[in-house]
Amino acid sequence: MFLFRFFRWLLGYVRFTAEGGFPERFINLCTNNGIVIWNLKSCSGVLYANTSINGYRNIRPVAKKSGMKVRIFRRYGLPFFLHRHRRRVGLLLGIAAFLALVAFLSGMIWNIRVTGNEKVRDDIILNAFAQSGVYVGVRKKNLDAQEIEKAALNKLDSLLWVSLNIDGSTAVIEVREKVDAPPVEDDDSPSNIVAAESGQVVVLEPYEGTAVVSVGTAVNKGDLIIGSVTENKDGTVSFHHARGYVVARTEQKIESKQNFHEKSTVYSAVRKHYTLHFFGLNIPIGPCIEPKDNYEVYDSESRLEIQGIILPVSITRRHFLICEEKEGQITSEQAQLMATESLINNSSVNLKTAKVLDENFRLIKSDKSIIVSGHYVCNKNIGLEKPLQVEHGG
Amino acid sequence: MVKKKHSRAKPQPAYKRTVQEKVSEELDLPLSSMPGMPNIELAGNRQAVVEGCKGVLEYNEDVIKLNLGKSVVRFVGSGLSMNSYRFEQAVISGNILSVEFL
Repeated sequence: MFLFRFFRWLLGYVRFTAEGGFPERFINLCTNNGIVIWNLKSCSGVLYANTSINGYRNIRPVAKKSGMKVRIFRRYGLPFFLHRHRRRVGLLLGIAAFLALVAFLSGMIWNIRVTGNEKVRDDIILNAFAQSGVYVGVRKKNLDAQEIEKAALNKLDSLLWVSLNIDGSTAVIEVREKVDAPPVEDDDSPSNIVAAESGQVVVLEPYEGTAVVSVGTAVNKGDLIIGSVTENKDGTVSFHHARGYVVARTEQKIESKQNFHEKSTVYSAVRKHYTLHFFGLNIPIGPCIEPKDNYEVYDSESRLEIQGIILPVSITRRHFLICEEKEGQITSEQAQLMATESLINNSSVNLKTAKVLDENFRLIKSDKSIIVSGHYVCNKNIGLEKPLQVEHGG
Repeated sequence: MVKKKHSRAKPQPAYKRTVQEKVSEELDLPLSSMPGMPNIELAGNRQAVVEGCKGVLEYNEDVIKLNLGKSVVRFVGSGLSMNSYRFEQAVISGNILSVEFL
């Protein structure tokens, strides 16, 4: 309905009054003569109605036939607006310039969106496409999608397929990443299973090869548990790829040390520098002075977005974080807390696959540091495959 | 002697089914889809869309009378107006009090 009204406004229409005579005859004659009238309203014997500009030009004979006198009540629409302001050249030029600018700008790419990537970062893909000719501000008609896709795909080895689609002023880059084939294990090569840690064997399940130790045996790190050599009945030997499940009760000690004197980096000040990106132009706001001291830098960008549509206007903030190294003193309680936290983190990583049976903790304090040590007794899979070097006799 | 003339009620014309009615009944089609059959849709008592309108017989803010070919429909109400009248379709708005077929 809005579009309908807009087109009527664009073409222009008039609201007129018709009085005296026969309104019924007037309406019928208008319809029969192809004069479109709408919003008819009768008010104290006066008929109000709308019609197009051409319709009003042809309405006189109809009104005469039906004995009605028509008069324009009000004019609506663009043609009347332009006619009213026909002497204002600046206004007309401004409208024309605006329309030309909109037409020119809509022929460019103002936003690039990448979809379908998980491992490969957006900036790597955008960089490859920029080298192939797709960047913010490029003319759409200069883009040859197929050639650009080929060129970009040659630069991006980790991608399997790329597609460039132009959606209005947005270039949508759709990608598919390569999936690496799973590594094929060399099952035939002879190998032993040895102890990765010292302990007492509690579970031993040899699937292939010959078990050298039995449940209850104590093994040291590197000791053979399941051998690859099997003796045949005829006295010859054959080599296998030993497989099995070996769980041993092991003891493990994990320590965490925290010094009372700690060097730390403190950010003393932050300097910001702004750059305005406007339709492909980079406009620095103020001079960009880099600090002389140690500093870290990072950028953050805010883009202008209206109802999910990203506009080609953004501001980049460059933050200069000025760093200072300071030596600070921490209290014994703080050090103990930090050391304990570190120990918990380490033990959760090291004993991820183990079942802890018993655990003891000790705290060792000295003048300069504090050490928190944990002693764990746990059941752990200690089987480690070790390839066997076999020399074939001639 | 003067013979008294008895007043008699005018006999009502017998209801005769039209061809459109017969066809729609036989083919199990809605009557409104038959050619030449006018169609009136009412939205409460505020708006009426009349299809198959052959002309306007009376037009003022209280009464709008439309020619439907074989019949005439009259809308009586207050503040009645015709929003559009094109391609034998008229849209009547206002406070409709009654719809009569004449």
